[in-house]
Amino acid sequence: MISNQEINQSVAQQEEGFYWVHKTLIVPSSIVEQVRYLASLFGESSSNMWKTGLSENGKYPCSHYIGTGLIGSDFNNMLSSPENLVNGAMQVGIELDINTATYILSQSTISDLNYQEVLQEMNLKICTEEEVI
Amino acid sequence: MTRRNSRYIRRSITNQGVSRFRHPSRLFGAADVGCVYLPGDLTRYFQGGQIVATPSMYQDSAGTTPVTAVGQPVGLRKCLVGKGPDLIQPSATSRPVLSNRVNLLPGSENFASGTWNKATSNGTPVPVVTANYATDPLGGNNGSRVQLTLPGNTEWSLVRISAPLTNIPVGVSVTSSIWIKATDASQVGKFVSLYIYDASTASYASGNRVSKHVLTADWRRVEASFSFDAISTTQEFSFGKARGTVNDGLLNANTATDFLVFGAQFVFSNQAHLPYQRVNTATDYDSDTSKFPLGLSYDGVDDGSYSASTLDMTSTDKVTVLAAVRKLSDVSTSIIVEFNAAGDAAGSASGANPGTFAVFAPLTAGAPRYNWRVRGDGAANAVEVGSFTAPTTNVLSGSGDIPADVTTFRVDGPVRGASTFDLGSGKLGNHTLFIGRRNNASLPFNGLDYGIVVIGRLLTERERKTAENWLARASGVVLP
Repeated sequence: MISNQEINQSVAQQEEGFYWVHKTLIVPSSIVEQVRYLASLFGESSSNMWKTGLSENGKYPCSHYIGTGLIGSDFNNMLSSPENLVNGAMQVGIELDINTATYILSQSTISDLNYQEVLQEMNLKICTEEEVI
Repeated sequence: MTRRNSRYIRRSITNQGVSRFRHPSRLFGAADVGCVYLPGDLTRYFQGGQIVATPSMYQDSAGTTPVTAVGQPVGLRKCLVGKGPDLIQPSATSRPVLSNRVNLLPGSENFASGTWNKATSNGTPVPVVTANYATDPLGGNNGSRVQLTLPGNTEWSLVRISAPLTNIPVGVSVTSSIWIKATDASQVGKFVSLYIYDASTASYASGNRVSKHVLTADWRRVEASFSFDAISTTQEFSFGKARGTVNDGLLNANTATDFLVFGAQFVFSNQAHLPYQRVNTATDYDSDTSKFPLGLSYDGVDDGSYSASTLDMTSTDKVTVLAAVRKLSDVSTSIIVEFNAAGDAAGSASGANPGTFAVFAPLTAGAPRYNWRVRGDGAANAVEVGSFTAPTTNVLSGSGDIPADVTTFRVDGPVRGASTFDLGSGKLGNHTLFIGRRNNASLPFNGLDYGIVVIGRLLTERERKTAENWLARASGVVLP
């Protein structure tokens, strides 16, 4: 109900330093494990991130995974360019080549928009379980 | 406190013949097991019956940075009774966010800013807005002057000031309101309208999408309720005026209108009883907890939390779960509370984890209901109740007595469903407690949590009512 742009406009008004940024992050299933691993190196405790699956018809198997909510400004900065991703990896002692970083970011959707709008644009739906009990 | 605000609180606490409410942690005696999580108090919690002056919630799961304001994520919640484990969410994007936002407009007072689009059609001049022009009805100097002009012909024309809305559900009643007043005596009797818009009909001035109001010499808060026909990337709240041959009763439009406005609000109609909420930005708004219930917002995608260690209830064969929640969607199966990772409260006798319970909102996708279930070592006994169509705020109270085979579920006080189906035997278990998501991975809840209490016994009538009253006050629910 409250847009991500609205939230981000607000946090952008905060002073420099750590702050929270609202993002919608969607990655294809082919690289989701790689992305989870990278995020965990950055202290994002990502074992349960990108656990919500997406597909065109909302049924399994999932073609993409979504994470949406507040992320730290430092993590957000790493996602802003392949160079920043490489540098961020370097700071935690991981050697990430620029081609891999470029590929990961090019395959990922990183948006200020609400997840509903991003899913509409990408023609994706959240995968729901047909039988839950 | 305004008279309206005090009424909001008073109505919540004087129902069912119980004039008092008590903090739910007072339910716990020395031998009682369970836990209490309430987001309404950021600075203290109860432990052993004493108020402990320490943060009750932290932005990170390590408990380093306290939650101090709305808009912050919650990575750790203390059990306020000191008996249960902390709830944590290590993954940043999955943390619920502290919120008591009810006014869904991106800004409510600065109509001269870019937040408010000044739109025209068919050659009407752009409306002129002057901020801080007059004393507003709350005594500040934030009344804005608006000068609108419509052409003096019969062509369809429209002049409006609009703010965007996001993902308002179809068919749900919403209420727009704003203070308006004629700028001077010459403007008294002219009209201004409230509108909603979505791209499905591409029309502002048809049917129930417009509400016309006459300007007076004093401030009047005008209000109108609508519903959207379709989800659209273009949804707007606006005020202004129109003329033409296609609309309903607006033909005699006054060509020039000069008026004052203040305090726009757009809420779901079942929150229209709450007072006006000033909004400047998404994190700068009137967050006075005496006026607006403070809760944790779950996005329905990946938000949730779970107990850092297991909650040991193996000493008891009875359980009561109280929860005050605002359910924002019925579209998907969702977990409010689940006691064990494998979903065995919902399962059959073959489930590996006996002694479990769960609250769903809803269980069946698309059903406007809640579902409460308890299980000993037999099959789970489910109590399904409705209709409670989202968006709705409710105080839920489920109880289960395994040896007596009694399962009861109350919503906002009265019993809505009960069963004597065999729960099996044995005690409750020693499991991880999940809030908002099954096993921190699936069935995400879309809504707000104003408080959750788990206690390993049945409550007396008086205990239940006083605890429900406390949760009603915390969530803004008016109990019957």
